[in-house]
Amino acid sequence: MSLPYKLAQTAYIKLVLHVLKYPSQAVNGVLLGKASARGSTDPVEIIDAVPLFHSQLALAPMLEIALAQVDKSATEQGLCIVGYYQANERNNDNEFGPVARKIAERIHSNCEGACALLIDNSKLNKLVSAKPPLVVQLVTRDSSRSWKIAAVESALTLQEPTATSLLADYAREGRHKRIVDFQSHLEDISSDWLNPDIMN
Amino acid sequence: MVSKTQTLKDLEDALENGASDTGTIQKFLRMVRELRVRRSELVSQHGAKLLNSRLLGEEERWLVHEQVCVAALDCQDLEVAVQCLKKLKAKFPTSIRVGRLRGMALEAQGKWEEALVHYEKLLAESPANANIMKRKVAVERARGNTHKAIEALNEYLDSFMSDVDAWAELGDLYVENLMYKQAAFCFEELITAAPHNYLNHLKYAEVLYTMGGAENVRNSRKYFSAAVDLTGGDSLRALYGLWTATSAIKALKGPKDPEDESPLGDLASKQIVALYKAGCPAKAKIVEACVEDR
Repeated sequence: MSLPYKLAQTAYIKLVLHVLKYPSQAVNGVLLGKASARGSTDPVEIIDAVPLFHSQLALAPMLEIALAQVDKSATEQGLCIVGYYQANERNNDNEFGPVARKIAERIHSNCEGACALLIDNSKLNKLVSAKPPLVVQLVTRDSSRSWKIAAVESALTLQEPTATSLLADYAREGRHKRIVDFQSHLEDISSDWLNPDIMN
Repeated sequence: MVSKTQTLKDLEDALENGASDTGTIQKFLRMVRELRVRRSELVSQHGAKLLNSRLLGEEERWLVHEQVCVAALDCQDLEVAVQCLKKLKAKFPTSIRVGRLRGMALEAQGKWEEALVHYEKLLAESPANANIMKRKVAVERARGNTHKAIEALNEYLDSFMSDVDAWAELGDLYVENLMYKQAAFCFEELITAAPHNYLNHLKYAEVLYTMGGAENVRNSRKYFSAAVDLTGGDSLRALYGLWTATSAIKALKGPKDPEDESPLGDLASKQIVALYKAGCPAKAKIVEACVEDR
């Protein structure tokens, strides 16, 4: 049975802003939070998101560096890496592909309750509508070790129901221009991939 | 002297802050064409106003029509695109360049098959037309047919072997499809074509490292070092690569190579920490802990 997941506003907004910043590219990142104790069915709390890359997701070296640093930084905040997120390049591509599975599997090997979020590109154009939908889909690992989009929508809930409308406001004001991922940090060392001010 | 990129940025800012006089728009469009950059939103938003302006001479008028048409297609503004296309077709009825735009209009409507048929027709008239061949690649990419896109790009490179952008695109496509060996070949070509561009060395090294195996990892370090060398130790990405490859080589099982023991890893980690202390002190502690871990 799959665990329930609670997605905090900060995590949701950061990851979608990352997707909006690079509309024609595949992007990925990791989710930070608190895993539930072994054997418990308490929800996994996804508290924050760290944007990683916006091109060449299938190359290993910088991913290794990024994961090591994010992991250290999360530990300092009393959190751990509880998941992975990805947006595919093409609008109608809703597959959790081989690269995504590989990275998610790796995160899962360190955190048993780890999940993944796949951005539903087809919903992005409704992001700033009157009733913005949730644009991520929960992907979980089943007992046969395959990653599948969760059939039960209720398995993923927003911690703050206002998250979608706040995100719409941020998207309207163009806040996605300010989001920074690990890849841009490699090009400009002063850019902080923790994006501490993005919610202020 | 003000650089062209700065001029472009100033014009962009002016337009975003409400300027809408044809003079500014004309200058902006010229800059975009000259620098070969993509500013589709602004071009399609303002360019339409310029189409009938008296400011434009005969030659520039048609260049602007083409430019606005492409930008409008990018932004899914079919109405403006079709309007430009009609006028261009009336003016240049047999032009392949205009034919290409018509194909792009079909693409913008998701009519992939029709677009491909149209491009084949144009290629029958003008075989090995680089721009049309490239559109075929774009169509296959856009509809997610990566293997067909790879095929089309290879076909293109048979005729235009010296097109480095195409080699780079092919390499990226192979990486996306996890065909690392084929990707490595493309980046080898790129290194030969442009040996002083550190990005090619870096990409090649990252591909080799991802492939794994003792020989590839050892080789990757050589190319990471070249990238560090070419950037004078300023590229964080190259330094991280050099450090990771060196650590991975240390951890290799099996027969050792005399070159495995190398001071390069330590040099890289020292330089990495120095860059952080100067440019991003808040992260220095975490990074230091990470690069000392292994």
